[in-house]
Amino acid sequence: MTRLKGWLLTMLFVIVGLGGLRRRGRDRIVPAGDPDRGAEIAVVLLLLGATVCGAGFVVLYALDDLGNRTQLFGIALGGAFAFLAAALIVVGKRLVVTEDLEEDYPEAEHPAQRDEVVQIVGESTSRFTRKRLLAGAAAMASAAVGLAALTPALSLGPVLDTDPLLRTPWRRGRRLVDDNGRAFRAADIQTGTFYTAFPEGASKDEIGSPLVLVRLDPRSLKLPRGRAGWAPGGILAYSKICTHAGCAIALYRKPTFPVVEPRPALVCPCHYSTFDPATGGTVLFGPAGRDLPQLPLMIDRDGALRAAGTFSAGVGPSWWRVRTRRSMA
Amino acid sequence: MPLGKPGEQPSRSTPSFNDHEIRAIVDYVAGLAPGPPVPKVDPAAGDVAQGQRVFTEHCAGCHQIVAQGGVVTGARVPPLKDATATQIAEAVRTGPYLMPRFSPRQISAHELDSIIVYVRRAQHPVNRGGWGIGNVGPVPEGMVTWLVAIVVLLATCRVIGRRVRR
Repeated sequence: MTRLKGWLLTMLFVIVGLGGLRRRGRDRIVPAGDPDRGAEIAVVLLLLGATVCGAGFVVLYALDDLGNRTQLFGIALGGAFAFLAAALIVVGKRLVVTEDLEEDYPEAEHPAQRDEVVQIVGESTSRFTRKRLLAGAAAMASAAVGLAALTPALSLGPVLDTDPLLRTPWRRGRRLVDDNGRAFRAADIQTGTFYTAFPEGASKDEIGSPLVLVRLDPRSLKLPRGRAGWAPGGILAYSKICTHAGCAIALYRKPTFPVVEPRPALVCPCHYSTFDPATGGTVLFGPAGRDLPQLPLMIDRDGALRAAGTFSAGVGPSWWRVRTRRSMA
Repeated sequence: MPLGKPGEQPSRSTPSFNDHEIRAIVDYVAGLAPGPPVPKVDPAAGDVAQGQRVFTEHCAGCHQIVAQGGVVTGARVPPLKDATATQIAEAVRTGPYLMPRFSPRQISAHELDSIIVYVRRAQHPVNRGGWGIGNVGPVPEGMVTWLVAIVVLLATCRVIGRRVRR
């Protein structure tokens, strides 16, 4: 409450102070410069360009099915800033009256002269003949660029539907297949290496599809409570998508001589988030903020690997409240 | 070889033993128990495009896309610039130090030949941009960009600003 009062008082002082700076009705000191219509039109056009680019970013963001979206976003935002910068350069070089000072500054104890200097500075924008048009264009450009900067926040939800991020094709009984669609048998999985697996009969491109499979000595496992039986024969399945930024976990660190070498770990090549497969995908190192989601496995009568349920947590890069949600089968 | 101390990561260095001694050690160790055979390679049968695809999928995460090496947490990843065809095949099949090993189910014999062809190509990269900057990815490229960008920005400031003359 006291903090709020403090803020309100500060704002009041700022507003009163700004009002006090405005002095009207005095005679000019700096003669009005020659109007430069061409430069003014150029500024308005450049500000319009910034507006179009800023608004274009919002439109591009709204269009879902475009190719090369990142590049288009970059062009739109970069163009908006380039247009703004160009407009400011034209204002600075062509529209603000510049006077070279030929005398030394007067002593500071002459307040009247100091006020004159303030007035000179204030009137140095006198070449503007259509101030309101320019101010309007500038306001429009700022609004468009500001809007463009705020647009990506929409992706944080709840405006957009985030359920697809939590939906995965894995459900109890679904077989694990490799890149070419061949089923993984438990006997195929060796220690010391890692495999990428996909759900049989589902799209490989979905964020919830790819798995990384490793086999460890069952005695070395320390899985969290409630995950007994999730790793038959020491075979563990985790989501292949890093919980930090969503890269594919393409590195498996496996010691040749465990006595003196680092323990086995799944490593993401983007920012080196390191996960421990033996303890349920806990983070050993790096920027990842939560464990790698684990998928429970079972071995059917033919020896093939099947999912025994769905992931222990939502897959993919972390976002607002993802920890509190479970993935949906 | 030999390592300075246990736990030290092996790296490429001048061998302390001569060829004769090395062959003797290999024969002795081979006499202790039968181990995996030396993989047979046929780089002539490889396909460089397939090699790039398989290398990107299985190797580039650690070894970098033009095989310049890098790091994983807990280890350095060696560059492959001096690796011979047989050494590449042995490393893929056995997985030295922290590297995982890859079975023929994951990387077939033909894909291995292709990887070797690709690594040989990557050992002598064609820099169509004219300036490879070490071919090690975004760090030196970023440095060049920053240095060039800062010079351009300073020049722009110089152009749009003006000194007050007295």
